[in-house]
Amino acid sequence: MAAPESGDGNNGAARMVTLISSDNTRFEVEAAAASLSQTLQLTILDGGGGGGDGIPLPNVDSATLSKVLEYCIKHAPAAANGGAPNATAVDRAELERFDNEFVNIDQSVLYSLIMAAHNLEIEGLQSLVAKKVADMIKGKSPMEIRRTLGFPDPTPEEQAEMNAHMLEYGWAYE
Amino acid sequence: MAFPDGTLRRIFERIDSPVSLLRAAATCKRWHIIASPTFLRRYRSAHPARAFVAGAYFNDSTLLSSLMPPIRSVAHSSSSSLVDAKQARDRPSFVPASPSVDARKFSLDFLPDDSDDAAWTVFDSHGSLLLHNRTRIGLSSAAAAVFPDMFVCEPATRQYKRIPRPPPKFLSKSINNIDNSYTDAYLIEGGNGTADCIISMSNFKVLCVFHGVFSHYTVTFTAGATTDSWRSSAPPTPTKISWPSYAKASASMPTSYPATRSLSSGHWAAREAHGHYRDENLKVFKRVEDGDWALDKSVVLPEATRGLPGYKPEFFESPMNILTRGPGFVVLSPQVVERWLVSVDLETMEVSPAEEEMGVMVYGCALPWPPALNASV
Repeated sequence: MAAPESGDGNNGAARMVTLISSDNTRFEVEAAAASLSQTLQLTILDGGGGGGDGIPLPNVDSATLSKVLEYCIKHAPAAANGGAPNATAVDRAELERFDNEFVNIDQSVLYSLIMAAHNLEIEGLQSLVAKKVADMIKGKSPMEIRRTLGFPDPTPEEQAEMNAHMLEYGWAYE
Repeated sequence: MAFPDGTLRRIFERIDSPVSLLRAAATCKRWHIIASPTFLRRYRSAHPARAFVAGAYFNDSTLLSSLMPPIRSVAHSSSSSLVDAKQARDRPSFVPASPSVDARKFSLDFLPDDSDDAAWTVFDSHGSLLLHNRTRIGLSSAAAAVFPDMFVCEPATRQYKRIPRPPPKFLSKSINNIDNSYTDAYLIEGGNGTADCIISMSNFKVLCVFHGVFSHYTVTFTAGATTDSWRSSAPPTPTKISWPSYAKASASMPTSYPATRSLSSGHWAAREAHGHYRDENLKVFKRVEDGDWALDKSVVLPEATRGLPGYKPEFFESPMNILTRGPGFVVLSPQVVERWLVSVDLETMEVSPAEEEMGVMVYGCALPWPPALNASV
């Protein structure tokens, strides 16, 4: 895993923490990156995750955690700059390119990411995955949305409700 | 996928089209979270006003071109004599603002057509509502001018309401003791104009202006959820700003002026046409928090237009007519036979020569909002 250019300068080397996925894989990562998660930030501020202890994450499997950390490491430098007010346009464009690429993934992976971003309370990632789902929904009919998101076929009651809605809001449908 | 509530809200807030949002609401029961007033308020404030624009209506262009000579007022009345039977069946046309809006859903074919000779003209719009004038062939324009046959409608939901005549006790005789004193009407929201109070078929006002013996006076029709009422009203503008400046320019609202109606006193001065009232400024008024109006900016027309080709000082001997309003601009013309059109950008107040082709009045129409989603479904 490539480390970002510099930490925040504490003691010369960046402080590292260890995260342990539900399937017992250990991930060593800079505290600054892990702290993008509101949940982890509290533990880390309390001094947790250092040394051999590690922070167990029973709700996140290793595949998802490695994806989440990829996001955190990429975004940590900008976050350390307070949302990067002094970031160059090139930096911002690079992050945007990264984000677009990052959510260009399988639906099952996307769903795992949504849950992980929610459980770990990673603001930026939550926004990113929400935008991805919003883009998948836009311009589609209720049935198309259900299919896109892999919902089961509607029950007769649900179908009746959908029809009633479409009748009432005729102007929103073609 | 079963999303956590917070995630669901984030997703919905990022759907940039209200039309897509409504469709998403129908997808499954849990998604009716969209229907909460809190969510709808947040959604509304998080999106630019143009996201809620359905499109624009414009009146039959052949009819309009016959009204176009600048010496004639562009007022909606007095047009019946110009209407022939073919045009009469034409209704204002709709141009959608985006491909996600189905123009057919905004057709005005639901307006009551109890005879072949009715002609419909939009003459104001506000939010999702339009104010129409229905004229009939064979009815003299003088009779129609006493009080027009007005309708307010919401195209998206295909509802309409006919505006009755105001009770006689509210009307004073004009100087010649003639009843012909109706001047104009404006469609405005009911209530106090705050963000929560959005215009709808059960919450609107039609402010009618009449010419009295010495001054204008207004009578307001208020549509309520249960009852409708008329009352005479004082000018709602601050005293230092003369009443005639109160404006009708909803056409410029949806895109660049979400909370602004704008227009000039010139428009009104032209209607007064008695020579004692003259104002060379084009003024733009802005609605302020308490629902009142305040002067936002103004431009001195004779000075601003001096450098334009064709400029003549005598153009300003009478106030200018406002020929056309579009999103963020008005087109003005002097009250002389000679045609000389000036366009004013209401954002920058810059003036420029206007194209003749700009001469179509555009009435913006918004999507109904908040949609009356049934949270219990």
